[in-house]
Amino acid sequence: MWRFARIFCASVVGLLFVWGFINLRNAAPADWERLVERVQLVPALLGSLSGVAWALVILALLLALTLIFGRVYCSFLCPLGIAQDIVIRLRRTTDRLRGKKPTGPGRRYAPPVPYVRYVVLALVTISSLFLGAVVLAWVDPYSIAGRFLSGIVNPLAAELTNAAVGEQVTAPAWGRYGWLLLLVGGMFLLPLILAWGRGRLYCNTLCPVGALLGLLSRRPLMRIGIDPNGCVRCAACVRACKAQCIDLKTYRVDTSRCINCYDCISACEHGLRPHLVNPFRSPGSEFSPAPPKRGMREKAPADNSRRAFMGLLAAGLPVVAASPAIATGSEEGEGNTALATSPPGSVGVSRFLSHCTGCGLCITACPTRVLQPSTLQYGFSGFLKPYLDFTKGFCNFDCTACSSVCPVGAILPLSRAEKQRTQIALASFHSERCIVHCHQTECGACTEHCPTKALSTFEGKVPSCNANICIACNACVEVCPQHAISLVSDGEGGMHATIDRAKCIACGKCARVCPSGAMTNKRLLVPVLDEKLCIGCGACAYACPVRPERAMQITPRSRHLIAEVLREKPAENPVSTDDFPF
Amino acid sequence: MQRRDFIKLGFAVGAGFSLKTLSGLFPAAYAEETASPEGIPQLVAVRGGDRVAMLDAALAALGGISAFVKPGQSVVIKPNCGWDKGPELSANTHPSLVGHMVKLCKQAGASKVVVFDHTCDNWQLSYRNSGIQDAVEAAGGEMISGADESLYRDHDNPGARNLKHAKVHSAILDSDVFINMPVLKHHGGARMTACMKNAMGLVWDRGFFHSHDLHQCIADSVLLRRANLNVLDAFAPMLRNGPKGKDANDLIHTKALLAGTDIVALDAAASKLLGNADGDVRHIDLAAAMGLGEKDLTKVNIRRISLA
Repeated sequence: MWRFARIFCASVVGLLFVWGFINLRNAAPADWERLVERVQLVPALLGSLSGVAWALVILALLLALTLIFGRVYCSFLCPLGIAQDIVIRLRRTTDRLRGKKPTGPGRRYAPPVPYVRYVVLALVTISSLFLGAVVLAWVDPYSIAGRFLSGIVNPLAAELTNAAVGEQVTAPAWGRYGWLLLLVGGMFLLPLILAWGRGRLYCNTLCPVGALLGLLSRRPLMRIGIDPNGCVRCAACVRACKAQCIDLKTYRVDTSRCINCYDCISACEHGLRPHLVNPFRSPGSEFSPAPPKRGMREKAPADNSRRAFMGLLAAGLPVVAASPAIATGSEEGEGNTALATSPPGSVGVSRFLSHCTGCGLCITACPTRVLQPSTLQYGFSGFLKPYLDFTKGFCNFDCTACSSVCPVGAILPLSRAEKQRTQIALASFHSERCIVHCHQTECGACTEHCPTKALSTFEGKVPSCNANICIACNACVEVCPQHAISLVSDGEGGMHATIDRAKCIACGKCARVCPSGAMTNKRLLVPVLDEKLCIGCGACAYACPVRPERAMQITPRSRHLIAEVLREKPAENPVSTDDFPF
Repeated sequence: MQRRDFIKLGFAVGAGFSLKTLSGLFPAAYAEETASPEGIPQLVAVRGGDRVAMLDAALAALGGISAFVKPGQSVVIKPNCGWDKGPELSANTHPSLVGHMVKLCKQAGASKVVVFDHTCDNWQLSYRNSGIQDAVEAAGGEMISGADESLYRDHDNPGARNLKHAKVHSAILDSDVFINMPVLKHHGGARMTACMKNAMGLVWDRGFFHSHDLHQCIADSVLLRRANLNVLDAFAPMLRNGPKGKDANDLIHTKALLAGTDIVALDAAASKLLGNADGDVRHIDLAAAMGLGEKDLTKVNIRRISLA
């Protein structure tokens, strides 16, 4: 019954989890579709630190569950754990089909690997204090599984759907992770390879969540115990145990390593039962004490490391809680620019990097594919975390997908109205590259995409100078309010006027004063940028046809700001509606 | 008989016949009956009704849908569906018009009606949130993607000045009938977007237009495939901040619809609806100079219909 409940729950969670990372129709995910991504330990922990209320509730629930039952998270909810269980199941089934006996190194009790899990946990904790979720992003089991689904399974699902439907329903996004797919795949495969040989070894050595929950599940209320009076030492439970934590010599189950898969209970026909333990009595006393065995250790070696770690944790926890404040504080003072643009809702780049574990859920949900996993765009601490790549797309004005799916609170939820005012970056207009200025033809690619009308066009007079006619009288040079015109030598002793397109504002004064007719104007729609209205969505830069350097450039904001909103009176019909104006 | 009465009568007769043509049995006879003494107009301008009624009236004056779609023909409809905006903001052709056109084509016996746009915003969001996808599918048409380069084919455009080669959507090249169904809007680069500008959504590389004299390329794009019929939604045109628009304050309430076969005449008339003077919209002049249509509306056979 216990095992069945675990398998049922894990199957539902596993399927929902995969579903949550598959995005074929670019529809905003429903609440139920992102539920299982939220009941994950590291996301709930980080979300709580971000002050997200539901994350705190989930964290409390997960911790309470651990204190009552032990590490049920590892078998019921953890996507990487569920994936390992599938591999273990495969191994055992193939062994049975090949007629192998259920023996071998993976099928017997193993003492805990000393120190490793606490060293990992300590490293993660210490790095989180000073760097945010930098190391955590590499070892968090939720994020490892998420990246695998986002980078490999989601494009695969797109390929399969396209093949099944026979047309291009959606373009498979293989390119997003690029060569990083090797790393993303490797990080996911390592635990599975270990699982094939040694069960849940990964969870009890390298996984920081396993180490943390192991600390909390030393003495769960409802735990698995062996009744020495009923036990016949058939070792069926030991062979079934995925964590290799049942020691029949001492009749003890190492609950700090037990991942509560309950396979042992199903295997046992004698004395092994989960039972309620009185927390106020010493462990093991509910049964008659087991006879001392020869060579039995007084204490597991992990205990010392555990105590050392607990002390460290107690000293460190207040700093962890304060870490977001440290991160945001360091942004003040300097110019408000960053190396790369973080998604709207992330408040600022360093807050974002200290919270994001790079699970890839927002990258999968992003309909325009502007969100891309970074390599070194943010610097080392942003490795695999999403940034906005304005050469791949732009941030859709009405969309709040990334902020609504983020389970860790790295991207806080934004209403559509809030998102539409959040300035994540700032556009800049480089008229010296602009087609309208340089080619003297109308374009408007940037302004047609601008959703806030920070970019608009005005009827300008774009000048050009015919050097053959120019008499170098200096009239235009003197009249130019931008000091954009100067006289240059043509190399043959003559001089003519030249226009610095970077400074020109298309006012047309130069052509008006030109006595020779060398300077002429063209009336054209010229782009102009109002920075106060710009939200840095990148649509203008994406659309700008100028290459290699575009005329619209985007400068990321280190700390996001609130943009102003352009309010205009209702437009009035320029012609009568009584009859046709033609 | 007053001219106005004649038009009203003509419309009533046309409406009556449009019921008969549901069977698609007498398309030629129908066209003759509804034609005015001056023949089929090149431009029909309707105002004062709801969008679907204005489309019906315009088609009746043009000889009915069966004058354009014969039984068994495949049809491609190209609305303006470029933006992730709701139908109330007029950034895209209204879904009721597109849906109704799909229905009429099916009733005229079209073997297949496909609808697409090469969108500016994400195509799935634009198709869905414009309401066009739902309207097309409800009417029995097929909404196809324009979002992948593999869907476009190299196409020579020898009559063009700048746009001599382009990758054009296969549906445009392969369908028997091409119905151009844009919406009238202000445009921050091209000054106006109507029938000719809508052809930018037929090609893969829009950037080429912008970097090789936008107005000339727009005029050239008319030649990629001459539309069999142009229908322009001018019910609530966007007067400023186009072509994407900011909010409903950008719209004016013209309550009009233009339809016809002369794409230059349609755009010239549409330009007037937005209050532009002659010569303001350069691609109209360029297209007229290339002989693609008549920009002088005094020389165009226009049928004006008021449903108010």
